[in-house]
Amino acid sequence: MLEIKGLEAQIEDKQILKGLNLKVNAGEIHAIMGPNGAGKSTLASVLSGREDYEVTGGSAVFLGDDLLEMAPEERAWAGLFLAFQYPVEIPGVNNTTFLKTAINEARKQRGEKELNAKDFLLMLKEKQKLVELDLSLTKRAVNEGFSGGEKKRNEIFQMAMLQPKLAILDETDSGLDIDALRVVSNGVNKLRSKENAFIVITHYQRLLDYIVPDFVHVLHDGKIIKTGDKTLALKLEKEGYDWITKQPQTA
Amino acid sequence: MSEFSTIDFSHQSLDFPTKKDEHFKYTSMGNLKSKGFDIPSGVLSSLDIEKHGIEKANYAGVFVFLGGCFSHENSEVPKQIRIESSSPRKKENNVFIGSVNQLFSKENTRIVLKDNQSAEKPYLILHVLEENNQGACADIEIKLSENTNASFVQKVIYGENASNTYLNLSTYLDVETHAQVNFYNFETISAEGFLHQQLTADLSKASKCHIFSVSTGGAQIRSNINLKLNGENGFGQINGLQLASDSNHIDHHTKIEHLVPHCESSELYKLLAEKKGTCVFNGKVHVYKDAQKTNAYQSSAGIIMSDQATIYAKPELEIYADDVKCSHGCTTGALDKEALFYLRSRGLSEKEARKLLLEGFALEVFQGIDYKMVLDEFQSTADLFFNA
Ligand SMILES: Nc1ncnc2c1ncn2[C@@H]1O[C@H](COP(=O)(O)OP(=O)(O)OP(=O)(O)O)[C@@H](O)[C@H]1O
Ligand SMILES: [Mg+2]
Repeated sequence: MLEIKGLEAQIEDKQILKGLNLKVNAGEIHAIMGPNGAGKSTLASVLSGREDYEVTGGSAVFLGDDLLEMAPEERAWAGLFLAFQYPVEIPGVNNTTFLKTAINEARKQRGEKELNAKDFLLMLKEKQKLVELDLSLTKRAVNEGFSGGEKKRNEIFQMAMLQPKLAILDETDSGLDIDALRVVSNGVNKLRSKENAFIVITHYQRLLDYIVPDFVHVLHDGKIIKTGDKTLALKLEKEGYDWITKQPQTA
Repeated sequence: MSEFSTIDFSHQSLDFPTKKDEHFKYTSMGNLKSKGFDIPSGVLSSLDIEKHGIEKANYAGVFVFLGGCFSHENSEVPKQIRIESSSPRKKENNVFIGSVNQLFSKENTRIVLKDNQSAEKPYLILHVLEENNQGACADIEIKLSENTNASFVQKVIYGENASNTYLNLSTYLDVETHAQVNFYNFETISAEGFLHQQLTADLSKASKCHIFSVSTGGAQIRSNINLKLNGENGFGQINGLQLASDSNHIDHHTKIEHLVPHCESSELYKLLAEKKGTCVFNGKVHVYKDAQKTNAYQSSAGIIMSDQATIYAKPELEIYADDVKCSHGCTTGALDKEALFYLRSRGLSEKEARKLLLEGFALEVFQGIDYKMVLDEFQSTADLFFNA
């Protein structure tokens, strides 16, 4: 589904990604862990097309297309979704209006029929229940005045509405209370299928008890330096990153 | 009474402001100097106001002004309203716009609402310029007697070929005790048109006045909007949206005067400038020494959408009382890039995302408007701009 080879990216002349490789197949869940400032959010931003970053090398192919050549909205239409580490507050733009526009724009692009108001509302109710997002929040301006946890829930709600093929969750678990963590994880697990995939960026092994990954990667200094199964996360939780980052790496 | 058949800007008695004049620093009257505009007279020849999307049935009454004069033939005056004509009011120390009006307006029209009235629908004040090179100066006074409650929509409509036009409106709202008035001011101007306006509201005890404006198009719009809070427990609001594109120049100078204690005022302006457009906002709040327990809120925000667009925004607070709550905020910047990316990452095209953000930014100005019809019209005026 997604194949990243030797990806290099910089921001304001500072090299952040330094030759990153990652392959994600349909049906898989990949966890990415790594110390602060390693480049995890940068990877997510580059994949979703944030313009501040300059790609200086490597490639990323998503479902057969050159992802790096596409505009952010084209990536969304192709089925990519990013749950932001810091969701943006957008005063004056209504959550529901925005989602309806987004969904119908994607449908139009894929040559599908637009959702009518009734079907949209049915879907909204269903998904809102799935992530237990307070209905009143869907009626407010996008993220405006939402609590930290509400913002994260809203990200997962949007993901549920947009039904992406590949979702990147950037620290969606930070700022969530225990109940919210369970709810959000349940949401992800219910959406998970053979056809879609997830990249879950997190600092905490705890999340991976709920969303069980097929692979765990360690991202350090702009590269993935270790890959393992879910037991790697347990080891990291206990021992930290030093044992990987302090010894010279062999490929 | 003016005998002129043209508004002749080369008239010797006109004293043009210079750049040194603080209130005309960003808005020059100079390009009018060589101009003249014909003042139309008589009854409308061909104009069918329904063709301009105006349905008389939506209004409690329609007041049509032609060449600045009230047109009985084209208006529909309901029983509860009295129209009085007299010679133009003497304008108070009004440097330029007032002198033009004084010199070239032919009559004063007084719209009188007697005590305790309230209408279900708004009234419409309609200024018409049918032909190219036409101009008009209107002098209007609206008297809202005690306990009346009324809303006015003010619009300008232009004939098909009327591009180069001049309109000067001097409107005075006399708001008596416990009266309430909404004034919805649509400043949508012909392609090369000028609009100059002096809108003043004088508020007596426990009265309320809400003024909402949208300004777009034309060569130049300059409106001075003044609220005088003259009686205790009064409330005044001035909200405005400026949408400047191409070489539109839009300038609002507002002044809210708190002359007595226990009044509240609120002001919100949104300025949007794209292409070579210019927006100017100067908002003065003056709290007099005796006006204790005043609450005055002002906020303005601008978005600049191109390198050649300009926004000048300046709050001016003059507070001489000590027991007051005043706040003001003034920001100008580009469209929020983070928000734009957020929306695009969800699958909104750049154009769609922009539109949604700008709409969200702009339409806050019209929150609190009771009439859905009026709200829709403000919204569609904005949409015309966003979709262009
Ligand atoms: N605009 C910028 N200018 C300069 N450096 C930047 C900019 N944005 C990000 N960086 C740097 O890029 C590096 C990688 O940041 P990134 O946000 O990708 O880290 P992360 O792995 O997501 O960290 P965290 O776990 O704290 O979220 C950091 O050192 C950060 O300071
Ligand atoms: Mg991060």
